Parts: sequence; C-alpha cells; structure tokens
Amino acid sequence: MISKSFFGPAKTELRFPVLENIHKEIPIRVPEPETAYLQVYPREGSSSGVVEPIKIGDTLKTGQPVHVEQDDVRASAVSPVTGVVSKLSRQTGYGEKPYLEIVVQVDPEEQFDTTFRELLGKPAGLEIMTFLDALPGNTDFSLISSLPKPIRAFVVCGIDAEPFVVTNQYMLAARAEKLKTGIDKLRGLFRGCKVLLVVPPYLQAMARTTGAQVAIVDPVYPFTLPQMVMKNVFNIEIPTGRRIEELGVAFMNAETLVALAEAFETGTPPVHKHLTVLAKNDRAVLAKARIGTPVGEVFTTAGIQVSPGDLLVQGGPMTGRSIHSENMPVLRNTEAFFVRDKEEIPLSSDSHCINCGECIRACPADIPVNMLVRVLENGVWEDAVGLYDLDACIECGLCSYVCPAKIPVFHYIMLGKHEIECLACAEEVYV
Amino acid sequence: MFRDRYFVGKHAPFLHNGSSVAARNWSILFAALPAVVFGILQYGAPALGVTALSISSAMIWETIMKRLRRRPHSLLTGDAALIGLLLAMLMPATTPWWVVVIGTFVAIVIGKEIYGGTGCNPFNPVLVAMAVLMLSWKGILDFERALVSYDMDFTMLSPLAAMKNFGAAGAEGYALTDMLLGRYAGGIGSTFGIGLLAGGVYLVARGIVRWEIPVSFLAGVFFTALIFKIAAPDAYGPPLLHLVTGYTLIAAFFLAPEDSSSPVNPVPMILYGAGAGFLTILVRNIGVFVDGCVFAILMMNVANPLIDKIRPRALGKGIKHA
Repeated sequence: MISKSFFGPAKTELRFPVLENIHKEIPIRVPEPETAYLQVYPREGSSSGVVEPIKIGDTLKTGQPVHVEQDDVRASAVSPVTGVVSKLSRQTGYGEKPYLEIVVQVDPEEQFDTTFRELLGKPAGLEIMTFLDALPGNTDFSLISSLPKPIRAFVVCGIDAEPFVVTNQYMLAARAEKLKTGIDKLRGLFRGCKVLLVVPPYLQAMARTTGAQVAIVDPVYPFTLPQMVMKNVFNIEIPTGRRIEELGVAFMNAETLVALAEAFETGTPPVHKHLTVLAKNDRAVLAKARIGTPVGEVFTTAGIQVSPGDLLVQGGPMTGRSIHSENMPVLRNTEAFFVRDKEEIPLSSDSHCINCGECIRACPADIPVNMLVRVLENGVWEDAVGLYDLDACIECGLCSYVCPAKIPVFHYIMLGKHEIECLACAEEVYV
Repeated sequence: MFRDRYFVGKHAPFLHNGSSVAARNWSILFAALPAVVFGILQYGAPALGVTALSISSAMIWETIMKRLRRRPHSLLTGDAALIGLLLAMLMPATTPWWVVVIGTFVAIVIGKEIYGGTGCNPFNPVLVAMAVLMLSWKGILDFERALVSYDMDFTMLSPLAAMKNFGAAGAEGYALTDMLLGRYAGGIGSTFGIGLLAGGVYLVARGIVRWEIPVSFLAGVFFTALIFKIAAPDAYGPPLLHLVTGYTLIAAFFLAPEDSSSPVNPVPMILYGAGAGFLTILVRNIGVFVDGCVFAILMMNVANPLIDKIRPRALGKGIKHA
C-alpha cells in the first residue's frame, strides 16, 4: 500500500484520500449472523450485584441489558441480538485485559426488549447511559455523565482517526440530516454543552448543514487523532496521565450520533455498525453489519478471499489489532477491518537501532524514541518513563511505520506501558 | 461457525513506508559515486586499486566479525561497503595495500563491531581508522609525499599545507573553481567539490542526511576561518578556500552526518555541526595537523550523547492543569 521509491521524495505522509462521491456509496449489507459473538469488557467501578447474571441456555432479546459473571470477571452490556446463550467464557484480550465472550445462537424471529423504549418517556437519567454505551463508536457515556467536572464540549469526528478508513466520512456525507438530529439530541442530553464537528476540507459545506460549529483538520495521519485535534484545534495539550474527558471535552464519532438519532426515533437500541473493509489489492468496501457478527461473514459478503497465514486486523492499519480467527466479531468500536495477503505483511526485525532519527521526526509527541527504544529493549521500564517520556506517547504507531531498521517500536512501547501498569498495581497491593 | 483457520498475529502498525537500512546505505554509496569516479579517472589504476581493496577488505572483516559474534551476515545492507568506500575516498591514491587493510580492520573491528555492530558505534568508524592511520603512518597519508610521482597540470602542494606553511601568501594561486573541479592534491574521493556537493544535495533531498549538520558544519568552518582572517589577515588563509579544500565537503555531507555517532534532535544537530566546523579550523590554523576534520568530528562524536539531551518538551509534559 505504501512504498518509497529509490529516487522518491524525502517524506511519505499518510494523507487521506479525497472521496468526492462518498455520499453516493451504498454499504453492502452483511446478512444477520446465525451465531453471534459478543465481547464484554468489565468497566471501571461497575459492580451491580443486584441484577441476576445470565447463564448458558438463557434467552436474550435484542436490546436487553445483561449482566455477565464468569470466574473473577463481571461486566454489563446490552444484547444486540435475539437468541439463546450457548457459551460463556473468560478470555484475555490485548494487554492481558480480561473480557467475557458470550456466544449466542441467533433466533431469526427478532424480539425487542422494551426497557429502552420505556426509558425514553422519562427524563434522561443514568439508566439510559447503559444503552448509549452500546451505540456504535467508542464513547463511554456512563463515564462522561458521571464525571465530577461536566463535559463542556463534544468533538464529533467527521473523519476517522485512521488513514484509509472512511466510515465516519461516509456517515457525515450520506447521513448529514440524521447527524443534525443526533447533535440536537446530544444537546438535549447534556445541556449547555458545545458541539464541534471536525471534518476534512472537502466535507466542510456538508458539515455546516448540521448546525454545529465546524473545525477543519488537515486529513493527514496523525493529525486526526484526538490528542492532535486537541492540540491543533483547541490549542490544549492533554497533561500526561490525564484523560481528555477530565478536561471537559469528549470525542465522539459521527456514526455514534447518527445511531443516537435513529435509536430515539425508533425506540429500539442500535445494533448495527458501519465499517470500512480494506481488502487486499487496496480495495476498500463499505459494509453494514450487526454488532457481534463474525468477521468471516463480512468477508464472505464482501467477496474477500482469505487464507491461513494472511493478516486480519480488527481496526485500522496503524493502531488496529491482529486477530487469529474469522470468528472474532464486529464490535461497537470496530471502524474497519484491514486484510493483508501473507506475501505483503511488513515484518519486523531484531536489528539494532541505527540512530537515524526518522522516528524523532515522525513522532507527534516529541518523544526521544531513539533512546526510548534502547531502554525498552533492555526492559528498564522505570527509565523509559522517568527519562524518556514513555507516558507522553499517544500511540499512533508512526515510529514503527518509518523505522528503516524495522524495529517493532510501537510494540515495545505498548509492552512498556503494560509493564509499568503492572508495576503500579503490584505497588498498590503491597502498600 | 467458521472452520478453525488461523491467521498471522502481529502488533500494529500494519503498514511500513518501505524504507530500509540497506536502501539508506545504497543511497549514500550512490551519492558518493561522482566523487569516486572522478578520483579514479584523475589518479588512474592505483586509485581504483585502493578503492577496490578498501571495499572488499572491509566486507571481509565484517564477515569474519559476524562469524565470530555468531550473528547473521549483513553484507547486503551495504554498511561495510560504505565504510570501505568512504575510507578509500580519504586516502591518497598511492596508499600501500597493508595500510588499506589495517585501515579497514580498525574501521570495521575497532570502530564498529566490538561495540555491537551497526548503530552501536560511538564514533564514526571511518574517522577512527583515519585517525589511527594519520597518527601511525604520517608520511604515507601526507599528500605531498604520497602523490610525488604524479605529474598533473596543477600544483601538487595541497592548499591546506600551503596555507599552514605560508599563511595567506600560500593561498595565492589556488582558484576556487579549480578546487571545486578537483584540481588540487588530495584523497581519491575528497577533492571533486562539485561531485561531493551534488551527492550531498541528493542525500539531503532524500532526507537521508539532515540539512542541519552539513549546513552548520560549513557555517562553522566559514565563520571560524573568517574570524581568524579578520584577526590576522596575513597569517591565515581565506575562509572560502577552507570551505572547498581538504576534507571539508566530504566531511560535511558524508562523515559528520553518520547516523550512529551524530545527534538526532534539531538543536543538537546544529551545535554538533557548528562545533565540528569550529574545531576543524582550530586544528587547521593553530594545530599541528594539516587538516582538522578527522579529529574535529571525532571530538564532537564524544560530545554527541551529551548534547543530544537537548530536546523538545514532550507532548503533555510539565503541564499542571489545562
């Protein structure tokens, strides 16, 4: 997809393609799955011991709030399908984070749970946030509605953070009216908050029709990442170790608001997710699938052949996560799937850093990556944070992208962050 | 339910810009070609012999060291070939074979491999070798003595030696255009100014060499020489002549910016280049040696880890509240 020719320019930049006709695209519709795989991550501070946890053999309705307990993990979610629970298991995800997998044999006769519809009639409270947490995207409504400092501004992304992913550009271009309704609903839920729409230049006119304030970002990775939008649009740097939400700003995808508008209009919680499938040979397909659909179904519908040894990525090409099986599902925050043929996978190497400084010039957070990778390779985690600003990393992956020695710098950084987290936990237990 | 087919696991990112260590080294080799070809045309078969021996012996030393260290061979990255070529470019065409072989031994083994190979060397390997050779066999690397058998149509006294011995008067008779066209006594690949400049500009345009180091190095050379010239116009040569003679141009574009031993942050790069330029003129004008580039850059290599600590504040660091 990206290669630098021998006589090429000094810098390759990850510029987003301009898609003038994106509003005319029609996403392919992935058929409803026979088996749905739900991944439920435990949330900080959620321990509802009141609700009865679900068991194997239970019947779930679409939109039903469920509570799951398995081994030491407890979590809550909203079911996106109707069917019978056939398997419950505790799994370990990225960074050793535990999650629960619920396998549901889907019933073609869909039945809707009425809890959400009943809540719509009442004044907005915390209960409805559980349902909003199931909206496509990655906004944590329960968190932002329970912060000590209220959210002052919502930043709605009309452009995806990841290069080549067009999901949210499509949502803005094709569903601007729904987005406008969504923005109005959001203003109703969080009174007094500002809404700012962040778009690439070519979607500027479309964005103005929504009535929100519009900000233009250069459609070049990494300037589409929340931390960079904060820095370049608001001129606010997020202090290390703080979340954006703590500064009174929350990021949200355009799709989240479109889904919010639809949910309020129909009275049923949202269950579908739009995604960009970046197939082999640089082909991009826009698809719409139910949350929980195994990725294999998406590929079959899109006509993408995959064979063992290929690379399947849940998420975009820069920060996504590789998945080992076609049974891994579409999640609410899966903006894209990225597929590479086994011949085209860029491999890492174990060679030394040659100190060329490419990573220093690529790093949007001004981290001394050349020194950082040296301490990380040797497992000196404290020095990585203390001397070389590991904690300032915004996790864009550009260091690995530009490294001529093909060192897995980003992998080292995430390992370092994980180890630091473990050290902090161990200290807390010890104290 | 899908068949249990398994896919490759890898950490993000899943794209790469296609750069590689080999491509960088081959680009530098390519950029050095005009100057080397010119040197071989000017000095004939002996120059070709020294260049070929230097490159091949460097590759052999590297292979031996990789075997001893039980590491996979890395000849295709062009690292050893580049070190061999740059060393040959600094030497006079008549250098005896054993000096060349000792030179590449020092460069590859003592300059690079014992520290752990590419990227781990604190000094520029080529300059380590050159410093050892200059200190050990002064006469062999002295251009006046080494090139005595050549009968060219220009004066065979190198401009730097003339300026060292006769001050400003010694600089008379050396036209800047002659210097840029390589019409003076010097190393095989270090005299053809236009070729070195073209190669250097190519490397800067490709982003392989950052502009900060060559520009600040040349500025350091020029302004230090200018200060000397203003202070004592009769005793020292003109600054422009310093810019285009000796190892100045090859040092600016090929030696000072060596990845491992030079800084990566913007301000340190400028300090490093300017410091090396300043020291070069100090050695040339008041030191013992005719050309100071080798020792000046080695001195700045020593300072590199310290000055590279000057760096921009990382994002979100040192902010109390927003």
